[in-house]
Amino acid sequence: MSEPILRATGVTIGFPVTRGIIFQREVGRVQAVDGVDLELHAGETLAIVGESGCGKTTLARGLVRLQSIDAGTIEYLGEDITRRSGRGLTDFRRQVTMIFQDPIASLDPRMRIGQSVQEPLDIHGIGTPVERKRRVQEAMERVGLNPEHYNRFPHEFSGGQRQRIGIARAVVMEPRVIVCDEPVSALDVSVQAQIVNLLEDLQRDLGLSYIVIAHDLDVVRRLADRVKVMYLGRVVEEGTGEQVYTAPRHPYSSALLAARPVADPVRARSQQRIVLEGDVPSPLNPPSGCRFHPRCPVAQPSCAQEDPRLEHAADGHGWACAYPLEP
Amino acid sequence: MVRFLIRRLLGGIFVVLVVTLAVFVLFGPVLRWNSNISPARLYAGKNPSPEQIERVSALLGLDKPYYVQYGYTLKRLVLGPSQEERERVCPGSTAAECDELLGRFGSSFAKQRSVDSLIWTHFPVTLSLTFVAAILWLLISIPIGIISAIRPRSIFDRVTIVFVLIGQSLPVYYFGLLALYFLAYRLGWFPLSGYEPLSNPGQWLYHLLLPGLVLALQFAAIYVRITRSQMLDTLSEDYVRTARAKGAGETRVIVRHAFRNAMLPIVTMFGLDLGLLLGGAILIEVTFGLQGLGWLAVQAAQRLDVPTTAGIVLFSAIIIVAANIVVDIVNATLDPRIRLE
Amino acid sequence: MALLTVENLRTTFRTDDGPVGAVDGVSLSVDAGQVLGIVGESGCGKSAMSLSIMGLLPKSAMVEGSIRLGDRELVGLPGGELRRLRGAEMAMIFQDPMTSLNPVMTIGWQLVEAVRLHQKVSKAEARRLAIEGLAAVGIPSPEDRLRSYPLELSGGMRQRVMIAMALLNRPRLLIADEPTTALDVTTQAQILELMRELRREVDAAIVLITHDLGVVAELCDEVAVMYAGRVVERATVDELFARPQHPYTWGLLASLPGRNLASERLHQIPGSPPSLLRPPAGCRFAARCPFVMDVCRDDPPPLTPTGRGTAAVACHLAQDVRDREGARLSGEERA
Repeated sequence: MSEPILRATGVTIGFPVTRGIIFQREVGRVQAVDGVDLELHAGETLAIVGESGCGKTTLARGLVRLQSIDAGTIEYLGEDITRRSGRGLTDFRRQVTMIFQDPIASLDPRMRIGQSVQEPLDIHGIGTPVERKRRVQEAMERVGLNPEHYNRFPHEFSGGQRQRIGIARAVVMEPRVIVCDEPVSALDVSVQAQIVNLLEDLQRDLGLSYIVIAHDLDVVRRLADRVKVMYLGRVVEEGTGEQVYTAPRHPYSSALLAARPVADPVRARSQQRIVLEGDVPSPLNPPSGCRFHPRCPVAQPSCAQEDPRLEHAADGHGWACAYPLEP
Repeated sequence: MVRFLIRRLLGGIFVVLVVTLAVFVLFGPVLRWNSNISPARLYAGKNPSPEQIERVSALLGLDKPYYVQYGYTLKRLVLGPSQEERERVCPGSTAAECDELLGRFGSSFAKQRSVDSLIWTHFPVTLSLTFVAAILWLLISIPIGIISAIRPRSIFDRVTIVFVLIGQSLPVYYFGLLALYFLAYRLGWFPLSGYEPLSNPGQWLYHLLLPGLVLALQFAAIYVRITRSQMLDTLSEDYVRTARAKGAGETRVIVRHAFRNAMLPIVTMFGLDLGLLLGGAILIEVTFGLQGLGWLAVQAAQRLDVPTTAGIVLFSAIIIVAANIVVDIVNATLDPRIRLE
Repeated sequence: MALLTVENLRTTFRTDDGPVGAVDGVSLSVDAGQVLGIVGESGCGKSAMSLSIMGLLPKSAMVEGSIRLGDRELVGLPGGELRRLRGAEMAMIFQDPMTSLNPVMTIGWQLVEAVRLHQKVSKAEARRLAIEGLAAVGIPSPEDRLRSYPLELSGGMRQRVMIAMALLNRPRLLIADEPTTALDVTTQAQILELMRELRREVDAAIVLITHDLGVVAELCDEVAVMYAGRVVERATVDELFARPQHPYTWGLLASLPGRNLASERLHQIPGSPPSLLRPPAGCRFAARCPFVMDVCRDDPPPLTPTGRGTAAVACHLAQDVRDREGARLSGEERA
């Protein structure tokens, strides 16, 4: 296999826990992301799924260096960019951009949308003013916005169109990688489809690689070539979409998939489902052994002691479970 | 919760320490260097001889280095005047007599009295004024603010907004004089000036009503605005909708569900305003001839009575810090989100 | 007889730009023990309708038409009488459990209040009912939970509390407005499971407002699809998924990524819903409809029975065209 565009090794991101009456001192760190490896290849889509608190968003922010990393390395095109700053970091951010969940919150309401889209070019000082404007109009056209709307304000657009503006902002830099944080979860179903199709078109036309962070497993299934399932800061299962969706080996992935409501009343009635008990435990005080064992329907006594490592089969499908489900 | 309290208390003590240092530096070395006012000279009476000044200087400990003086100031603030100082300054008098002369905040230049006894004489006036004004402004502003919020854009609401603007923009000394002229002088409804102690409650209230009202109206304007906007925000919260969906009546929704949540920031503001006013409402006190802390501060400043001025500044600072801590405690009891933090 | 009957309901909001008809002539009914799903996207009027039924809209909103709970007409009912029905005869669960409970009051206080607003019982008795209610929705150690504040509970637990609170007075009608939308997938499954159990136990009519066709398939007996303030299609849940009749429903089903794995490209409905400030004269879906005809732009199609059970559709397309297209759509997915 070719050299990956983006590679993360042992990425660990924590937040400080402080205690003290006058002087707050750090007494520990909550591991929001705990030793995650990933590789992203040219033209592929890697999805990271999990529920709130699993660390997927923190990981995404860490990958684009919006969040400082406690341990591990991030390499872009073989170069270690974990400690880069200044010029080097700016260059990296031109090539790896981000799309956010909430298209309303991520746009400045007082900025004309053309300016919003152009802003990254201005910041990075790319091209002459005329070239910049041309690139903005190209980007707007590419994402299905009318370039004549250059001078309008965000509030004049619907949710779906605003997300298109967000995407235009991300592609105007002509990046190689876009990290999409919940790109469609704030949108209505029919608009979701528009955005999913747009992301697919852009990938095909521009040769982009995506990292998609999402909690909607169906959207992920549609978009992703490979999937990682996260639970409490760790990857518990990874593989191709086919592997993870049709033959999940980790009980958590399996429960997550079974939890989706099925838009088919006949199947919904007949389906046997495992409903997980309880809530995700606090990352402040993660369970001993396998972090999933208190909620696991097939846990054995040893799961409370032994912390399973992510092990891979020959076909690349990996899971972190001592008693994996039969495929 | 206990942790939180200890933290707030220690924080408060630290702030007071910083204030004492600032007061000491400003009223000691800086003032002397800047305007050549020597405390010893001021204490020593009219046209003192150099020997007299030197003797007073030694008596007051002013010949010692500044850090020793500051150390003593602090020690006196916490523990009161030392036995040694008592014997030196008022030999042969009883403890009560001596307390008239010596105190935690030092002694006045202008009068043969301790700053403590001056403060305790004048503070009740300020306390009474603040109390009456605070009751009045809460009684005025909270109902009006709530009604405005329940019926936004109604005639009532619009009229209220106009009055709020007027109330906020009229300077209190001007408004106070107008009130004095018409209500007290022309109509004779209120006394022109003065204060009656609480031992005669009727007279006490009669004398405080007009200044209290003038002070209250100014604060009421701000409180109407805040109450209105807080209530408007709270009334659009999901849990208020839940309360209505449960079948709670409108009064219950407003009083039990919205009001308590809307009050949280108002409690904070109220506590801080009280603290501020207890340090002396200078303009009102002077306008209405109420001899409170503000009035005392003006007097002391005019007579270059440095210890008294410094004492009042320090006293006000302690009250404000205390008010802050009280606000935090009240908020924590009202709001589990703070308590359970 | 239907427990809830809504006839020709119109809910109009006055805005600075003019009146907005959020609900425009909706009729529907639900029987006791039945779950009616109301599906549609944001702005289709589904929430305005549920708030109209509950009488929870601000005074600036105008509600016309008829809403009957049993044989009692709710439109025009004096505030006090409506209030006595709310929380007793009809109750509601909201979308966001994080903000729907009063943050400064204990869970116990809020539950006891709900009981005592409608039942003349002692505090101790109300407390007992509250504990029972919490236990019924699967909250562990319910007695201790009474002392908790909302912020001490997870989202799923808070939604259980909301459900317990809604059911305390054994309402005849329960309206659930997007009850699982704000929750994580596994928590959503827990709440759906709970609602499935409860619908067997409580003999209430349930109106489930949602944008999620998956949730509809899991819980509902009947479905009404709303678009731009109107019902465009109504059917039993099996009928709707097996033989969808309205082009908008087709579009919704075809754009679900989970149902359309095989298709090369996800179906998308072009454009966005019309402004309700100045709605189009004819069918409101006309501008986005791939099957649009001239008549669609001028005449709004009435909701007409299709002849299959209770199913009805508001579309000018001929029955055989709709049958063919609908069958093609659902057949394609199953392949």
